[in-house]
Amino acid sequence: MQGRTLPYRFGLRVLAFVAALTALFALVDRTTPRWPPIWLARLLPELPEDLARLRSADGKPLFLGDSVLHTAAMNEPDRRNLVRMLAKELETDIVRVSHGASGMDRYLAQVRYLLRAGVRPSSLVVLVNPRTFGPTAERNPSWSFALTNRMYTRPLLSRLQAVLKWDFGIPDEDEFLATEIRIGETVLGPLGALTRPGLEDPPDDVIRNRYLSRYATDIRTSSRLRDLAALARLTADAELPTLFYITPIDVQSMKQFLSAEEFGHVQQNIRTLRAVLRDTGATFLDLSTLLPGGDFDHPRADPHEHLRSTGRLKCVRKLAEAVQQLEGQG
Amino acid sequence: MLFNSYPFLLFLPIVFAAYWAFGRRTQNVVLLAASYVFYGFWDWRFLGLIVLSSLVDFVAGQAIQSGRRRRMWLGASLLVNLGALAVFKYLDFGIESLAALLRTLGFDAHPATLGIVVPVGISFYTFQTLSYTLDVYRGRVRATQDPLAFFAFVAFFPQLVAGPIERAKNLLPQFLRDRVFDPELATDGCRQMLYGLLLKVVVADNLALVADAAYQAPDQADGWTLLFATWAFAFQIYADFAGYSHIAIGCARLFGFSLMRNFATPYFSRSPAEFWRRWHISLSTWFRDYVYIPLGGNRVAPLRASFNVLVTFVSSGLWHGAGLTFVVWGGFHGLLVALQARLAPDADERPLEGRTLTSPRELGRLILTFQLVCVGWVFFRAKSLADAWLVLRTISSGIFTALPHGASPALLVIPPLLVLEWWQRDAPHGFARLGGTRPARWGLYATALLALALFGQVQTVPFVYFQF
Repeated sequence: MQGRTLPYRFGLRVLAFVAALTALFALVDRTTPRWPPIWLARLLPELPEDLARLRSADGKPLFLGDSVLHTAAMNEPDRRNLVRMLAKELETDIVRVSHGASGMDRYLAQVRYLLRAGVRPSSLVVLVNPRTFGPTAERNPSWSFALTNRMYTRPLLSRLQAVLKWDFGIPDEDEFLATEIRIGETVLGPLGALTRPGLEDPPDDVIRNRYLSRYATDIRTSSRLRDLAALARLTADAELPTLFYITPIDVQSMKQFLSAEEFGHVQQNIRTLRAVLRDTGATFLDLSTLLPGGDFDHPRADPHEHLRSTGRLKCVRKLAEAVQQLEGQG
Repeated sequence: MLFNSYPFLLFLPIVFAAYWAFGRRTQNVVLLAASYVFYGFWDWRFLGLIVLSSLVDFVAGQAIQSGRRRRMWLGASLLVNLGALAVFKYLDFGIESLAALLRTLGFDAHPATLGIVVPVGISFYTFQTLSYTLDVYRGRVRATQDPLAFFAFVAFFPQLVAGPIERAKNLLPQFLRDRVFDPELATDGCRQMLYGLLLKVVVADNLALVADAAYQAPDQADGWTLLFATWAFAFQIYADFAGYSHIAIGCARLFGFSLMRNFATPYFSRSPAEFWRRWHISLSTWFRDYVYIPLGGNRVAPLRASFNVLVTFVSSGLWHGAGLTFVVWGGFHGLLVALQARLAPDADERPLEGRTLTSPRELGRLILTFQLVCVGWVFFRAKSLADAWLVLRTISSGIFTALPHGASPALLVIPPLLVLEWWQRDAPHGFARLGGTRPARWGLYATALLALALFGQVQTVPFVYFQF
C-alpha cells in the first residue's frame, strides 16, 4: 500500500514546494514595490523607459494614452505632437507615457504602479479611445500587453510566467480573425472575412465593415470598460486629480459608410463610456464628435484616430482649459 | 507541446498521476495515449506516420525473428522509415539541388518544390525504430511479442521529438518489465529537468538573440561581432539540445525509465574524436553502429577507414538537415576526425573526470578543439554556403585589425555555465551533486527558479533540434 502511494506523496511534495515558492515570489512582489520593476523590465521592450517616465512624473501633469498622443503626419508643417502642443500652451512640462494600441488595462496597471511607488503627479490625464474597447483592439494578439501590464505590479511572478509561456487567454491570430462581429442583434460574420486585413484598397463594403467592427460593436462586455471604471475609482480613492477625455473619432467619414441605425450603435458606445465615467464620479471631457473629417490623419480604408495639426490644436484648446481647472483642484 | 510551456506543466502531473495508478500493461496504455496527445499538439495529422512506422517495424521484427524472408522484411522496414524521411525531409532539397545542378550546366530549370512540411521529430523516431529492426536482423535483440510495449517504445513522449535516440536493447525491455517508483531517482529527475530548463531558457534562448542578430545579415556585421555570435551559437545549440535531453531524461525518470546520456560536457573535449564521444552521443553511436562499422570501421586499410569516417559524418550532416551547409558541416567534422586518426592516433585523452587539467598543453588542445568545432558551427548556422564563407572571411580578417568590441551582455551566461559544468563534469547533469542538506537543496531550487524568472528569455525560441 505504501508503495502505491509513494508516487503521489512525492507529487504532493513537489506541488507543495512549488506552491511555497510561488507564495514567496508573490510576497517579494508585494512587499517591494519600488525596486524590482525597472531592473526586471529591461528585458521587455518599452517598459524600462515607461517606468522611468512614470517615476519622473512626481509633481507634474502626466498623460497616459495611445498613439494619438504622440503621432503627427509626415507632411505637416507643424509636427509637434498633441502633448507637446499642450505643454507649450500651458507653458509647463508634461510627462507623456504613450504607446500604439494601448488600452485602459495598461493605464490601470501604470496608475497602480505609480501609487505603489509613491509617485504623485500634479494631475493625470487619461485618453479614452472608443475603438480600444472593441474586439479589433481588445482581442488582437499583437496588441495584447497582458505581460507588460502584469510587470508593473507583479514583476517576478509575471516574468516567470512569461518565461514559461504561461500565456493562456490571449487569442492567437486565427482565433482573432474568427471573432464573430455582431452589431446589435445582427451577426455580420467573422472579423477576418469582413475586414480583409492586408487589403490596401478594399471596396466600400469592406471599409464599412472596418468602421463597424472598430466602433459599432457593443462594448458593454469589454473588460477594458471594467478597467476604466476601476481606474476612475482608484484615482478618486487616491485623491489624484484626474481627467478622462474621450478622443475624437472620425464621425464625418464614418457616416458616409454607415446607416443611421448603425451609427446609432457608435453613439450608444460613447454614451456607455460617458455613463461609466459619470457613475464613478470622474471628471471627463467628451471630444468624440469635436472634429470634422479633415482634421483626421488616416487612410480612407483604415479608419483610426490620429489627428492632423489642425485637429490637435482644437483638442489642445479644450484640454488646456480642463487641465488648468484640474491643476487648480490639485 | 513544448517542455517549457504551460500545457506541459498541466500535462505532466496528469499523466504522472494516471500512470502510477495502474499496473504495467495499463501503464503502457497510459504512456502510449499520452505520447500521442503530446505529439498531436503539434499536428495530429502526422501521428499516422508514427503509427505506420511502429506497425511496419513491429511486424517486420516478428517476421525477421521467425526467419521468414528476413531480407525482405528488413527492406520493408528500411523502405518505410527511410522513405518517409526521404519524402518529408529530402524531396524538396533533392528537387532544388537537381535544378541548381541543371542551371549550372546551362539548362533553364526552375521546378516548383512541393513545400512539404517536415513532421517534428521524424529523424529521431525513425532512427529509433529502425535500430530495432536492424538489431533484430543481426540477432542482437529479440523481437518483442507485445505490440503495446513496442508502440509505446517508439512514441515515448519524453524523447519522441528530439531524442535521445534510444536503442531497443536499452529502452524496450523497460517497457516489458514492472516499473518501481524510486523517490530518489524521481527527485533527481526533477532536478535534471530543472537544470535542462535553465539551460534552455536562460542560456540558449538569450544566446539565440546574439547569434540570430549577427547571422541574419552577416554582411552587415564585423569580425568581432561574428566571432562572438559564433561562440554564442556554439553555447546556444549546446544548451538548447542538452537542455532538451536533460528534460527528457529527467522526465522519463519520473515514470521509472532510464534513458541514455546524450551529452557529456562536450566543450571540454581535447580532440574532434573526443568531441563526438561527448556530443549527441545517442546519434553518434547510432551512426557508428549502423553506418561506420558496417562499412568496415577502422579494420580496413587506412585510406578506406578515412573514407568510412567521411561517409559517416556526411551522412550525419545530412541527417541534421537537407542542405549543403549541413553536408559541409558533416564533411568538415569527418575530415577533422579522419585527420586526427591519421596524424595523432595516440592522442592522450585520459578521462577528465576526477582530475583537473594537468598541463597548459591539454588546455591548449581543449581551446583548439572548441575553435575548430566553432568553425563547423559557422556552416551549421549560416543560411547558405556563401554566408558561411562570408562569416569565416570576415572573422579571419576582422579580428586582427580591431580590438575586441561589440560583445553582448548575454554572453555573460557562458562563464557560469562553464564553471558549473566543469565542477559537475563527472556527474550526469549540472545539478546532480549540488546541495547535500535539505535547506541547501531547497535553496538551490529556489535560486534556479529565481534565475529562470530574472534571466529567462521571454521571447519564444523553438528548440533548435525540432527542425531535424
